[in-house]
Amino acid sequence: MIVKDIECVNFRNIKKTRLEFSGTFNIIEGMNAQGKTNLLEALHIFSLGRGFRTRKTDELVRFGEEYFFLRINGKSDTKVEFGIEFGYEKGGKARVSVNGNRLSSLSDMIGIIPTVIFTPGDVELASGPPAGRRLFIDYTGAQISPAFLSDLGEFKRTLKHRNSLLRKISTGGGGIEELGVWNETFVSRGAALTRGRREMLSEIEDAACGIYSRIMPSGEKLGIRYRSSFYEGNDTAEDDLKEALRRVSQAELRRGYSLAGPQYDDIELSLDGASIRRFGSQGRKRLAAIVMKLSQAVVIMQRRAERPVVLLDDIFSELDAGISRKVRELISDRYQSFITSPKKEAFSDIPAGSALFAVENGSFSLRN
Amino acid sequence: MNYELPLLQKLIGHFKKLPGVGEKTAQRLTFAVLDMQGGEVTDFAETLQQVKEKVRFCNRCGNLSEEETCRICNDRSRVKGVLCIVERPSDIYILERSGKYRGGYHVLHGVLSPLDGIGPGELNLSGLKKRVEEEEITELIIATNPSIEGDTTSLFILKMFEGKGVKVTRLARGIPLGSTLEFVDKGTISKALEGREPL
Repeated sequence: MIVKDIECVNFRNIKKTRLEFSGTFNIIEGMNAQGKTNLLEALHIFSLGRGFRTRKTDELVRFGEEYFFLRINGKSDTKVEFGIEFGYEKGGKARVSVNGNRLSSLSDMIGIIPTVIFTPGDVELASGPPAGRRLFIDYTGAQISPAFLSDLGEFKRTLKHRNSLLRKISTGGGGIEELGVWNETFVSRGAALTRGRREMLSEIEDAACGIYSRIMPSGEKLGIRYRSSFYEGNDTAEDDLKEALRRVSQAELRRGYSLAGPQYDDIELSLDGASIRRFGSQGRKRLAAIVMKLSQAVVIMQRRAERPVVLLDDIFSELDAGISRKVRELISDRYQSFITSPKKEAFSDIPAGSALFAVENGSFSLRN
Repeated sequence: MNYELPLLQKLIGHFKKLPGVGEKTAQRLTFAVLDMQGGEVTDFAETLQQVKEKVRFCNRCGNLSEEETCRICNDRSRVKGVLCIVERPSDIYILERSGKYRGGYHVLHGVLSPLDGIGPGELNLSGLKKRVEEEEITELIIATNPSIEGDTTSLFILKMFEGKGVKVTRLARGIPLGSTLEFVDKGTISKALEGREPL
């Protein structure tokens, strides 16, 4: 997938701009708070239908304006040209059209532009809290499989319902008679999500091991394992989740929210069998995070037969020069990428065919 | 200077409250009202009022009715002993269009949804229990929507009648008739794959 150009109107601090991109590296440089990341966020809109720094789309509208509008033109790896428009009016619903055809639901847009995004917070992916790793796998699955996306959405909604019911019961508002059927729905949707995540992760592990050994040819063996809070892979996930709910049922009724299920699952990363989170050095933790993201790109490419677009938000300043160079090699081989950077020095060896943009106060200019 | 007419604006405002009607459509509807004959407008206005006054829920099945009991419940030619359970009265009209179903209906007026504070007590379930006993119902066909809430509600109804000698079935889901795979959304396809049947 290649994004050929973008048009942004009233998006974040961008008043109006139209940019043509390189099919390989696109480097966006500028001082802080000038709008570098805003351009990545505009591209990200076409991946998930929302920004990555906020869940409130209203915040994406330029200050003092009522709407924003984005349009991209691109070409798939099979050489099919496409154009996508995304319009949003404050307090309203997004209007998305693909090649002039209005989409009925925003979720139909997910996955059209496969995207891998790397933000500064992601260096904590391997070592930070489990929520980040769950998000990583869900985001991968959502872009690859509509069935996974629908399982994920159904589970999340069931969890909200169930928590709401448990809260009501715990505060004496009644509702115990319908808890049984919500438990059944929770078990079926929770088990489906867990199975989907495990399958997804075994593909990610294969890709990640390959990438790790390319960056660290004489290094350790990387392991990635889905660590379910209730399912060991022996019986059916349904039976295990049912059993887990039974164990916590009294505590749930007291505390008023769900205490078992895939919302507590995690991914365990290891080097030669030793947990990275517990025993890894700072450098290894960051490297593992990068490898996870790069393997996400590989899995998306394998499953979708379409190369994802890679968005890198100021991450090279966090990495040492050697690893940084290897990562750039791995990306430049295959993907169109968009890289923000506060300083030019980070790219002393900009490859031919790249585009370099400078941004100042929401205005972009092509530098090469 | 504002040249807008207050009455006209008021009517436009009323039309805009209707689902699917925006500013432009509301204006068109308003001008269409202006073009109506005198008697036509009176009838239109009176009908609006009467609909609100006279249409209520059938005391047996919960369908919309202008009488105590609705026409479907009163129709002696309909098959006894089978009830189709729907979320709202409008679903009955959709099922009736098929002409295939000749049994009775029961409207729940909603589905289980803790997030909206809807539990079994908020649904027309006690009426259903009573009917199953009194009308000697042998089969319940659950036609709630294929959503989390619809699925959970159908489970609840299934449990209600477990071991009571009532057959409980659920509408099948999958690829719509007459459409090709190309035009079916991805969610439906994955559900249809899950629910595939041996030939």
